[in-house]
This record gives sequence, structure tokens and C-alpha cells, in this order.
Amino acid sequence: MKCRIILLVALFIIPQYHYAQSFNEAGVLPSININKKLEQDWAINFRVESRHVFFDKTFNYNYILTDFSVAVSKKINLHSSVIFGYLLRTEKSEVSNRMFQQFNFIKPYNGITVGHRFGLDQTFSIFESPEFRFRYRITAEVPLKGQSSDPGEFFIKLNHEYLNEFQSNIYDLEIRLAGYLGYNFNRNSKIELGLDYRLNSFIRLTPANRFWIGINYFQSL
Amino acid sequence: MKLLITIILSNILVLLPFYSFSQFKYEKEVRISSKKVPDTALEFVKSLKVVNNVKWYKEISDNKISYEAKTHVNKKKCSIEFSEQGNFEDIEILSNKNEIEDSVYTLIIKQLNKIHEKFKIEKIQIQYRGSKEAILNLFNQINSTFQVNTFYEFVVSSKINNSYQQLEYLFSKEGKLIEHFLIRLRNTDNLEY
Repeated sequence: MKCRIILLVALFIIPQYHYAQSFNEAGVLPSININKKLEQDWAINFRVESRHVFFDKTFNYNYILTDFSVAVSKKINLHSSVIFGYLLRTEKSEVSNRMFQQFNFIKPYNGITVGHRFGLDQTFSIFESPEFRFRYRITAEVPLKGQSSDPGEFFIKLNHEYLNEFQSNIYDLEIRLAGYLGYNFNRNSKIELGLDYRLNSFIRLTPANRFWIGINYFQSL
Repeated sequence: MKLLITIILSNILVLLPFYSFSQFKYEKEVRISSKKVPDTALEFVKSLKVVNNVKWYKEISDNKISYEAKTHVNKKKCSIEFSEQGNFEDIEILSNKNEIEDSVYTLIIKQLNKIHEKFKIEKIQIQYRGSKEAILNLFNQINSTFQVNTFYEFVVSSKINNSYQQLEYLFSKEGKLIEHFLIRLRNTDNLEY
């Protein structure tokens, strides 16, 4: 028992020690998603997401950016869909454009709905060289009552994502972990509140730890 | 007049597929403790010797409330359904095509092929209905003369009116189609974007 406690304490302390010199940032990441189903299994999604930092070495509010995106999706079978989209990123003094392509596979297993998302994106801006990313995300939605999350019920959503980034022949890996508590207002609208942890630049440089409070609202029309 | 008849007929032909699949099945399952389950249902499940580790759910569908015990029988997923009063309704066991007589399976597939140009079987369940005694004897492997009615439930996915849908079909032991429903698909926007 003692050994287990020591091991657990060591597991918590080692990463903190290792990242003692790392870059830490914390803030809020609110987003609104509007989704409209179209005929023949097409759908269109509009999303707005912004970043607000509250902590960066010291507590200090700093607006970072806002993303506006539009994506069209097409179901290719009951569980899979492909998505093509465009994202406009507006920062204080910079605008960038991103094209993205995704493949989704979503299926329920024993009451837990698991979603796999494979994505490619290409970002272009006049201030930086083009960035290309290949990403994979696994998401699990766990209903807190019954076998599926129904209207008027809470659910837990867990995300784990790997982003392989290539820019100016330099590779970086970003790892994301997120946990949300969600609530279904009805069949067409839900809200999620949780913590989104992102770690990058740990391969070559000082690791950057980012902690976001995520607030996501989804509305289907 | 001929034109009017043609218009009416063509409208019927266009609307018929919508009408035949217009019955939606919507179920909401809420996990409950065994204390909230009617005694008769609890006693029935206890008397099934093959069953252990039972999870209870209250099932609310469009037109009724029922109780469902989810468990495993011979390592296969099994759900036992009871009415709101706790009366036994049916047992469903997750199965595969090998557990259905070849001729019956072929007949079922033939019928599904007639309805759908292309389809995929998502799930097969064998459903048993009958008196309490008949089901208890079947599961506790006691030979008896009590009649158990066997049905096959097929959940398939297919394109209907150019959009992927999930449907539930119920066939008799002989492979005769009894009823079918469209399953209302859940909104998964938050897993896609």
C-alpha cells in the first residue's frame, strides 16, 4: 500500500518537476456551433470560437483570437461522414486562412458513443509560412443516465487528440486532452462545459502547457 | 380526368415509401435501482438461474413505459422486458446469423432485398415471448410443453429517399415480416465538429 502511494505521488511530482521551466497559459475557449441538416445526408455547420487568456505567468486578461468556420458534411454510410471546410482566424493584427478536410466515424458501443476523427488542414497567412497538420481525435460520450444521452439528461464527453504539425520543414506534435460535462436541452441543442489541456513544443523546445475552460454550445436547425 | 388520376397515382407512388417507413421508434432508457422495479419483474429475473449482474432501466417510448433488465446469458447480451406493472413481455438475446435456420435467414434476406436496394445488418436479436412458465423452463433448461414464441429482430441500415436510416424489422420464427420501424437517429454534432 505504501509503495503504491509513493508511486502515485512520484507520478504526480515528476511531470511538474520536468515542466518546471515550461510555458503555462490558461484561459477560456467559448464556441457556438450551428448545424443545419440538408437533403440527401448533406449538412452545413457554422462555428465561432474565441480564445481569451486569463493567466500567462501572471493573472492578466488578454484577448487572443476568434475563429469563424463553415463546413459541409456528407454522410457516406450510417456511421461515417466526410467534412470539407474553411476557417478564418482573426487575431489582433493578423488574419489567417485554413482549409480542412475530415473523416468521421461515430458508433455507439454499449451505451458509450465513440467518435473517431481523422483530419487534415492547411493554414496560410502573410506573416507565417504555410502550416500543414494531420490530426486524429478520439471522443467518447458517456450518458449519465441510461444507454444514450437523451433530452433533459447530462453526459460526460472525453476527447483525446494528436496533432502532427509541419511548418517550414519543422515538425511539432500537440497533444490534447479534454473532459466536459454536457447537458441536452432537447434533441437539437446541447451545452458542454469542461477543461481542455493542450501540450505542444515539447519535442524541440520548452513545453507549452495550455489549460482552457471550454464552453461549447451546439444548435441544430 | 385521366390527367387527374395520373397525378393522384403518381403522388401515391411517391408518397408510399414515406408512409410505409413513417412509424418512428423512439425510446429513452433511464438507469434505475432495483428498488424502483415492480416486485413481479424482480422475482422473475431472480428465478432465471442463468442470469446474474443485472442492470435495471426504465424505458420510456412514445406510447408506453416499461422496465428492462440488461444482463448476460451464456456470455451473450440479453434484455428482459416487462410492462409498467411488472408483467413479463419478452427476452431479447444478441445473436448472429448462424443461430438462425439457413432457410429462414435466406427468406428474411430475400424480403430485405425486396425492400432495400442495399442494406447492412447492424444487429440481430432473437426474441422469446410466451408465458412466464414457458420462458423459465426454456432458460432453466427444463423440458416442458409450454409454448415459447420465437422472433428475429433485425436492425439494418439503408438508404431511404437518399438518406441513411436505421430500421428495425421483426420476423416470425418462419421468417414472415411482422412489423418494422424507423429508428430515430441521435444528434452527434458534438462528436463531429
